[in-house]
Amino acid sequence: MRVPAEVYRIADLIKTMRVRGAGRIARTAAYAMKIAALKYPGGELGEFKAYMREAAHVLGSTRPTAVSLHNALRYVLNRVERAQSLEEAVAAAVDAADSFIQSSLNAVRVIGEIGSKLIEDGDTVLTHCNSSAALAVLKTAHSSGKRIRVYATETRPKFQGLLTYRELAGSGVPVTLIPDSAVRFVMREVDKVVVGADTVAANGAVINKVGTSLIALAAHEARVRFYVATETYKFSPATILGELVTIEERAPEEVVPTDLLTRHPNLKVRNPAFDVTPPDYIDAIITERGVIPPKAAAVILLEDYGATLAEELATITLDIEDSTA
Amino acid sequence: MPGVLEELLSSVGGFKIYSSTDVALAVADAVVKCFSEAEDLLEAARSVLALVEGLARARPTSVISLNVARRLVEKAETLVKAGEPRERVAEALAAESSALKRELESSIAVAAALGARRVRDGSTLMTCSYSKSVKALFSRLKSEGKRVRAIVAESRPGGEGVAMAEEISDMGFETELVVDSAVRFFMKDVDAVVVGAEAIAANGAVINKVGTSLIALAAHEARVRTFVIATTHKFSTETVFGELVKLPVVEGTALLPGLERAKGVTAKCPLFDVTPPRYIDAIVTEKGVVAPEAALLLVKEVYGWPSAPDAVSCARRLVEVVERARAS
Repeated sequence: MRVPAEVYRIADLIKTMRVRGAGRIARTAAYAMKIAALKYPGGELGEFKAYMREAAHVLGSTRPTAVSLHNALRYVLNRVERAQSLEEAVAAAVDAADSFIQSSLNAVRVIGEIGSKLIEDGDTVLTHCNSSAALAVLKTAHSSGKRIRVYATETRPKFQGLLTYRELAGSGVPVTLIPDSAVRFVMREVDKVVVGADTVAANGAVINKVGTSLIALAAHEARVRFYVATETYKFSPATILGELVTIEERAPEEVVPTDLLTRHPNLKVRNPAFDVTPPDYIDAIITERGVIPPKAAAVILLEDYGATLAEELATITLDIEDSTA
Repeated sequence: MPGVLEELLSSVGGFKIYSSTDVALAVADAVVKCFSEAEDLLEAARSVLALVEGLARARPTSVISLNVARRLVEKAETLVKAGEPRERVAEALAAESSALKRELESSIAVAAALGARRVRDGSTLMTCSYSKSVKALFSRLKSEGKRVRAIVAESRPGGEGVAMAEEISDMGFETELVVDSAVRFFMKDVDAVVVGAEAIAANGAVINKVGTSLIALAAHEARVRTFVIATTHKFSTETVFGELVKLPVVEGTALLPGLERAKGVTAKCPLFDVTPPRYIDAIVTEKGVVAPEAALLLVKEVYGWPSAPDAVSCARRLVEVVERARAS
């Protein structure tokens, strides 16, 4: 049974980064799973489950490293897998997608509330890229009457900083755009840094838009506080079993026009989308469940995925016992 | 004359000339022109003063240009005091300017040769912005047959790193262009950071294209060495007396390719930043490889102690000397 064209269209929007930001990607993918469920033309439970797995595969392969995307897909699929009849399975998919989207939106609001308490009146805050969680913190601080000023990095190569600029300026927050190379230059004027996350690893390392770790380093050097605002569905359960987070490298055309490279055969462009900020440079992670020290990330993972992780660990243990027996 | 002057100053301020050494060479030509095209010595001295004042405003960090201008102005003053006519002063300055240019070129070549000794075959170098001295290092490495990989940051605002990467790759080196944000990501693969300098302060702090201090910081964190290649012409004598080097900041998005047309955006583009001496392993000059803290000793050797007055004061004094010579 073929996955409907709408799902492919949404997958394409995610792949080409017309839909971007880990939270938005996850919500869009959940919505696509709902569409897939509603458009299923067949009549057989087993086939429906395979069809939904195929839809999840199409959506999941767009951004292989985005943990939020995979957690959203897993959230919907898990509910589908448990269903006993086709009607139940379709309803479960729709319900799971809706509740994922709703709780994700709520999470951003709660993060805004909690995070805004960390911002003080008169603060100058630096942010990178375009994170809905980080923006919620800044906008909530502003609307609660705190006078803040924001530096937004332009965020090469795709200029997501301009979206941040427009959103903050539109909300009446005084904001100044700076090139990414100027973050150490302005760091002396900065009181706090607030960024989002793409993925949080079990050791508290944060994978986010490339440049984040450089900003964290410059903040650390200047003893400026560095906060990460993120929903807990961006915490990666696979990392607790030792899996590494793969960093996506994107096309050179995002950085320079193609003809520049054809003119210079020895010239290449390296374009990693993310980098890894070590937990030592992060003062706290602001989640919808509270402010946690980065190294406590494993606590969240064990709370949310404890049962699944125990099962996977049991499988690994059995495999080892088999091979040593 | 004013047309030439304006054009020079606008290309200096607007970053149309990338390398600060190239700016200095253009300034030397302009000083000579002031004398060769003027009606008399007074007009020449006044246009030199306007040039130097304009330069100090447009690119106050360009210590090498100010140092070159000062040397020519001091020469002119000696000649005027000796009663030489304008034509003779112009000729002598043209000769002095050619000598200065040869001196700059050979100083860069010597510094590059010393720097090349610190680069092992097969290593990976990271650099940023556009630097004549770093380019000289790469051509020296090529002539020595050392195979080196280069990682070049695009260096916004302006983005001169792209031109730098093109030229290094055309010399035959494997070159990778990266966005400025990615320098920490790639630092693990780097054996040494090599950058040029706009100016070097008396305490060994290096003023260079904005982003340099971030790269040096990331290198320091990763225990990668950072070398600055700069001839002694870039040492700022004024900073010996506690003078701060003024760092220009351009408001708006004009220097951010891709965002030039973003309407009504409040943006701030610093052009230079200061890398503290503790992040710099060595400054490679034509007089030797020194710790940044020892820059002071070189300032003393090159310019004497205490150092000469700044370029603007020298140009003012030249105007006075010409006026006095006229009156008598």
